[in-house]
Amino acid sequence: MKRLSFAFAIALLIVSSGSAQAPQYKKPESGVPVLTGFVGLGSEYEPGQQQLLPTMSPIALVPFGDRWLIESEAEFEGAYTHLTGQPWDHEWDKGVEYAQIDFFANKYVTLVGGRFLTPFGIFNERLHSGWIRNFQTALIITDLEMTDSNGGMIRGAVPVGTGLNINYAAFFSASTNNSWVGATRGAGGRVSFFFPKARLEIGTSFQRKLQDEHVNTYGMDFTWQSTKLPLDLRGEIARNRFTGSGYWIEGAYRMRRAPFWRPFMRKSQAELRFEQFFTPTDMPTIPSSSMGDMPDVNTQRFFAGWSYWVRPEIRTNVSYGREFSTDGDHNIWTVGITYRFAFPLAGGSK
Amino acid sequence: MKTKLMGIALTLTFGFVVIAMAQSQSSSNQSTGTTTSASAATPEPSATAANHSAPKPETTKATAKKALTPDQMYKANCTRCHAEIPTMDARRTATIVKHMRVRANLTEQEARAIFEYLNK
Repeated sequence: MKRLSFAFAIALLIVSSGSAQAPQYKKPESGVPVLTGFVGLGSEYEPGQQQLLPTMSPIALVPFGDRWLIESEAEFEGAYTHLTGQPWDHEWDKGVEYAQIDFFANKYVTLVGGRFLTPFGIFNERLHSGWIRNFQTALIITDLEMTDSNGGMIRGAVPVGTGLNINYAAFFSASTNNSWVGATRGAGGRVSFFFPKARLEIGTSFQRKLQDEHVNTYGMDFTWQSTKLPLDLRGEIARNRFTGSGYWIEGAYRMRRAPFWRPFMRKSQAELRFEQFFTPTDMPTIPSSSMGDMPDVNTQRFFAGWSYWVRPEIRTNVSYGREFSTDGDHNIWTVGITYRFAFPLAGGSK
Repeated sequence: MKTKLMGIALTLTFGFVVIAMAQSQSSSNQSTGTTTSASAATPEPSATAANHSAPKPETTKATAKKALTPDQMYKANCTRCHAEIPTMDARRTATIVKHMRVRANLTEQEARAIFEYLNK
């Protein structure tokens, strides 16, 4: 116990000394309620199947004073599918991605209540939005994770000196059977070490499902942005003993420095992604209905893509991918456009 | 077929790296060689960020241990997910920075610095 207290005291000392060195910035002015989000239209072409994928994701952000923020995102995803020899079919998937209240308790702690994106890895919380992610095609391992949770979360970042931030998030979720706000009972969290000078973050995640079969999912992730080149690398590994394991790695290179076709290249980005999924070695005891869209055989895919920003808020992209599995190899082509908006709901611009 | 495509993927990756290294070389030849690594990095910030002045070069050992500048905080935290960030007025920016403080686990210090940077 004494040792633990000593370690805690040392940690506090390091944190406080780090804070003391940091320059002070003035408090931002009050924000206004904002309606943001994106609308997009994607299309995906595989042998024997063509899909049009319209999406609309409005996000409402309503701040109350300095310490409170209410945020909510609804998502409407359409899938218009044409299988060779059959007429077009369509379905719309509607849901609330998150509807949460955030309370900034102090510099290091934020409390979150309501429905929130489950903190696991980097894709779900940060990159899943259509106007942010580099490829339209969803990652295979996304279905290994709980993506939305209803309950409470504590999270924050603690700077240790000026060269390291320790980020953390821990949550508990209750089971909810509702098509708009469904969630699984579970608990977990993520801890990461972010080195801002090196622009490197390494994180580890854990979640335990606490209903039906109690199963654990483990994950590790990293992001790295070169300080010399406009190059980003990121990746994630997830493992669940019963439903499978896999990883993805993605690179993006901004073409601003290309010496040719400058007007086009300065707004362009080249992208590559590679991912692999492994079916579980143990026979799954999970009902196949709760395994999402995960393949039932080992699968690997690679994608090469190109994004072009017509304006900072309008992104177009095209990609080619190929999937390899014992079910048969095939190509995946995508073309898409997204428009990101942000309107003030009150107070006007200043 | 599979091997051939994997070969293409590897060649593309290799090409990526070679082009990147070549461009890095040419840009470092063009520069005076006095910029810090962080300020030399321009991972294509937004149109907004492009309008902001870059931080002054820092070369001494004493300054190397300093805290990051708002410009560096912006690049370290925002541009790793957002390749482009549209311009907004201060009051909308304040709300969105608050949202990002939760989403991206920004420290209070970083949130304030980034807000200040985006509203220069």
